[in-house]
Amino acid sequence: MTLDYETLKVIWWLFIGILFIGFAIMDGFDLGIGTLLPFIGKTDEERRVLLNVVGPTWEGNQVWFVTAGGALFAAWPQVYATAFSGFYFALLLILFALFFRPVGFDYRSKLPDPRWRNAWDWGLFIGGMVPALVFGIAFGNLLQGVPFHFDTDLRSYYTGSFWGLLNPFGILAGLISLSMLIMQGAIYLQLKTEGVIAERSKKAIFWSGIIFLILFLLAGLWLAYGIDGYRIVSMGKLDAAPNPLGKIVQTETGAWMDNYSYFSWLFMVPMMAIIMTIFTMLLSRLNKPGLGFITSSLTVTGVILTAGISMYPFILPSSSSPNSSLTIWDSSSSYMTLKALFWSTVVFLPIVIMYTSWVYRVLRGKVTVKKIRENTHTAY
Amino acid sequence: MISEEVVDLSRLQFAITALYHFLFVPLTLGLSFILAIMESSYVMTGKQIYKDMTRFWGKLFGINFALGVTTGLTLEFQFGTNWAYYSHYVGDIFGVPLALEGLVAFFLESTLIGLFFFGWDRLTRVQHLACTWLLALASNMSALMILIANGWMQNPIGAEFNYETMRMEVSSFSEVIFNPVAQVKFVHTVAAGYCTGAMFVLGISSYYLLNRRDQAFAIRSFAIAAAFGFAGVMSVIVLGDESGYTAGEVQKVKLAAVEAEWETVEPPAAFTIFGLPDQEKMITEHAIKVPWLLGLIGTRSIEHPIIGIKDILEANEQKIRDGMVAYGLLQQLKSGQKDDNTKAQFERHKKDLGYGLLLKKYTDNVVDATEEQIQLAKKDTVPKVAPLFWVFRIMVASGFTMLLIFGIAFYASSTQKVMQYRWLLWAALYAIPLPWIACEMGWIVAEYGRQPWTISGILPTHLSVSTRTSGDLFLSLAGFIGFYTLLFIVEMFLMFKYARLGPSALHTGRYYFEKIGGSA
Amino acid sequence: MWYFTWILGVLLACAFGIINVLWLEAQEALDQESIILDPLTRLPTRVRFLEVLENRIGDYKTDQIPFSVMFISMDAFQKLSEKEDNEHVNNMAMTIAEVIKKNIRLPHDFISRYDAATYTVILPGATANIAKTIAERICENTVEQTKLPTNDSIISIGVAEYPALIGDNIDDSIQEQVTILLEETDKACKNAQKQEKNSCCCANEIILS
Repeated sequence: MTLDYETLKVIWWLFIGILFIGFAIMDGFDLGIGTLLPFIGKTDEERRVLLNVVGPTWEGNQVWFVTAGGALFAAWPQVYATAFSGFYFALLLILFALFFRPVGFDYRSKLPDPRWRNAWDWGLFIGGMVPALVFGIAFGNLLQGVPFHFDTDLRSYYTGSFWGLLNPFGILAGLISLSMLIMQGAIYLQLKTEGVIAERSKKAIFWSGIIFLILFLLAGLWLAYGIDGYRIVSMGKLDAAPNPLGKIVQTETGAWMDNYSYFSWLFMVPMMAIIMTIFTMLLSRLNKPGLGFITSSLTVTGVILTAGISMYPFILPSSSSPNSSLTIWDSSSSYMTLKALFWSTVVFLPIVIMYTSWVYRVLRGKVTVKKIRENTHTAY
Repeated sequence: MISEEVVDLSRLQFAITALYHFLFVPLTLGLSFILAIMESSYVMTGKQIYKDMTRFWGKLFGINFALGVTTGLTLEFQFGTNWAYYSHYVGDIFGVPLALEGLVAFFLESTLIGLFFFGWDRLTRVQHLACTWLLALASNMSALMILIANGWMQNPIGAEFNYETMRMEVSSFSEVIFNPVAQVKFVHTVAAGYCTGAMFVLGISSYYLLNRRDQAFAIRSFAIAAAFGFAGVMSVIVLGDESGYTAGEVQKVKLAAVEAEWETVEPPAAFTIFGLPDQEKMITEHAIKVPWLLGLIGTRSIEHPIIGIKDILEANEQKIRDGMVAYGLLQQLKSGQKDDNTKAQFERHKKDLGYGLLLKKYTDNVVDATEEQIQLAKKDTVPKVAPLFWVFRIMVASGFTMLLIFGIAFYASSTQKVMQYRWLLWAALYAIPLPWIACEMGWIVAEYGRQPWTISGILPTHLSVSTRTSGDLFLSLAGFIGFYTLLFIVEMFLMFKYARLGPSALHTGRYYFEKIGGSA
Repeated sequence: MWYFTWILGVLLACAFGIINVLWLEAQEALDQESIILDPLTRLPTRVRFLEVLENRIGDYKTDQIPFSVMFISMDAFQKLSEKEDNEHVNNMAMTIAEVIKKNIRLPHDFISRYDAATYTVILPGATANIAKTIAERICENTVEQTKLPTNDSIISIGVAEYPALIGDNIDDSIQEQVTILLEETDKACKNAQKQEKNSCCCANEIILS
């Protein structure tokens, strides 16, 4: 397989996918634990345990998000431009919610006043729940297409609104994302804590798992029978210079199932998501949270891949002007850029994974109330 | 046509969020190396006091770092949310350093900071020291990536316009990386960060020394900050000079504007220390000049002239007319007339396409723009001189003041005379804001001086914005101002509290407020 | 070109910082050694002690009067590694200094504070036995005066007699004799530390045995 332009465009679909999956797995449990903070942490010390489970590693985890965003900008600039300016208020909402996190973690326990601490705890809750929810809503809207078009200068015009994003399928996708990340957070919590906190986490896994399964199946059926998918009818050469205005696109109910009908083995991906969820719930019950974290991560992988596979090669379909939809073929960067980024990623991402694993190993072990008391001035 | 209000509001929002972000970045850049110095001293001497220093200044570092991350997220988003056409037009080149920033710098920095705070008991001394050094390196790498990106905005080499994709595309990454503007900006900016970190430590240590508290701790912190800061401020001034020289080569209009050089005078040109530039009349009133100085530092010669604004304007008028031709050819290409002749002609004229685009502020029909519109566009090609003139001089004045302070502080600390020079300690304490002033002024020179372009000579600012309404902008602007003000108050409160407390904040039992005789 | 310069430059700047602070450390250590009087006990310090010892050895050539050297180590101090003041520790140091002063013949004998944890005494005319007796008395009185709740050893003492200790090396230079004398006394002191608490040990006996 030669590294030609066409191949690179596909590889970058995979790489962006890997970065978003990495984000969902690594920062996902941070977001999940943030969401669970007021519920599983009932006393100040219990909440500090939760915060110190993610405290030392959450910044590194958030970088998956930053890098995914940066890679989106570099590999698919038109997608970055159109999506970020189109989803203006949704993105601002995510951004403002994320603001609570760095300051919340570092500043919360620096003053003993319970009102101060409580305020930051709710800030951290927002910082966990809102992004988890809104990312899902965004994905749900990608699957339906959003209204935008281009002029001949390739300037994008988004004609939807923020409230338009809060449609039923979008909200369903948001809840799927939220429940999935709560499960991810809870299983990590079970791994890193003991006693009453671990017990509460197990309950969270059970409920989020059940809710996730129901919603995921519902979404699948809806996608197959109720959502208009997109398919490319005609297009220039796949390795041509990217310009979204050069193709013809058709919409039809259930068209998102096309890829699955061409390659029926792809059904294994959503299947894996379902099976791995059940495994996670079982492993949690059997007190094997280490394995449970792996299966939960595979669930997350499966969910994102399912959505990605359904949409391939579309990235940002346009509901108002389907021909202007952004696909991997017509919104990529230039060959040289994709190649330079490809080699950079191939070199650096494994290095990143290596030292990240080393850090998790150094910081292994459970976080207990006792440890918080011993280190009350240095812990979060 | 795009609303001017949206452009102005977008510019205001970006300026506010970027300047705000840069309140926290330089301290991270400099203090991270200072922590590495302190911890190295700990590992080398085995003395506990250096570990305490690393941990205490590290606490302040953490308070600052938190907001650096918070405000950095905004900027990454903002290219997409508010500058969508820019992102499409130059993302092929601009997006790469941003992506690499995450991959190479942020991952390392953010992963290691967890170990820095929580790994003391789990790592050997040398391992933890290595983490601190890598943390410093990673933060500086992040600055490198951003400045490669910004350097390309000022001097967009290594890229070509592609009419099929209607965007700039990279032709040589090595040109982008080794762009002389990027190189000089990078070293200049990180050196400014080193000054900031050093002045922060120097000033706060002076506060402890003035109050005769934790003197052994403070005098050592002072010594490290004085030496590191002295090296830093000398570098920043040398590199500042180099920046001016590079601007004289590749961004002549910026140099002319900053120096209010209206005419091309007989070389070597004089340096205007003080004056009131008047953009309409194109003169500087009440000017106080130093002969020969500008020519010498700006061109490093006595024969090469500094091109004045009036001559630049004339040259730009020609570029605008050329750009109109290019624009016309582009329209032909877009409408399907892709014969070889048109393509060849376009290739010849496309370098001035950006100047043609300047006319889009006044008319959609660039090819038939009126003389009046051409004259307006021509005036636009030079940024407002008066603000640049003064901002630059404030930056330089701050820089030289810091040189004085760091120089004397270094002398005093190496001859053990620090406690004798109480006036020096007061000066250091009150000089804490100086590096911040210099940094912000510097960025204003860099970015305001680049107007009317987002990419010099290629993409005008007024075309770079997203298609949003003023209402959207007002809302987002309000949100940022609101959040940022609140966060700033919180951060300042904590920073002051811990700086005042000093190393007693570590609760080791060794310091002032914890021993008999002190009271919190 | 500037990227490369930056790497060199920042490492140089950091080295600058490290060197400046280590220079400060060296200066402070030097200052500590050259101060005339210990600020806490107002006793002469190491510099003065070495001077007096050298003079004594020189004087022996003319007057043939032997003398003994005593090292009194405050064991509790050995555990601390910093020189930050600590009220309790300072009180103990003062008490021990007083006890020693009571048991020796001032101003004939010379007492100094050698370092933070050690006092040294020169007893002109005293033989090893006399010195040992005095040392034992100091140990007893110390235990009485400092009422420590723990069972740790408070002090250990090493004594050595000159010229008996030097033996054949009597023709060495004064510096070298000082070195040997201090080494042996120090060894005796460390020996005492190893033995039962609050004991003293005689260097001459070690050599003879």
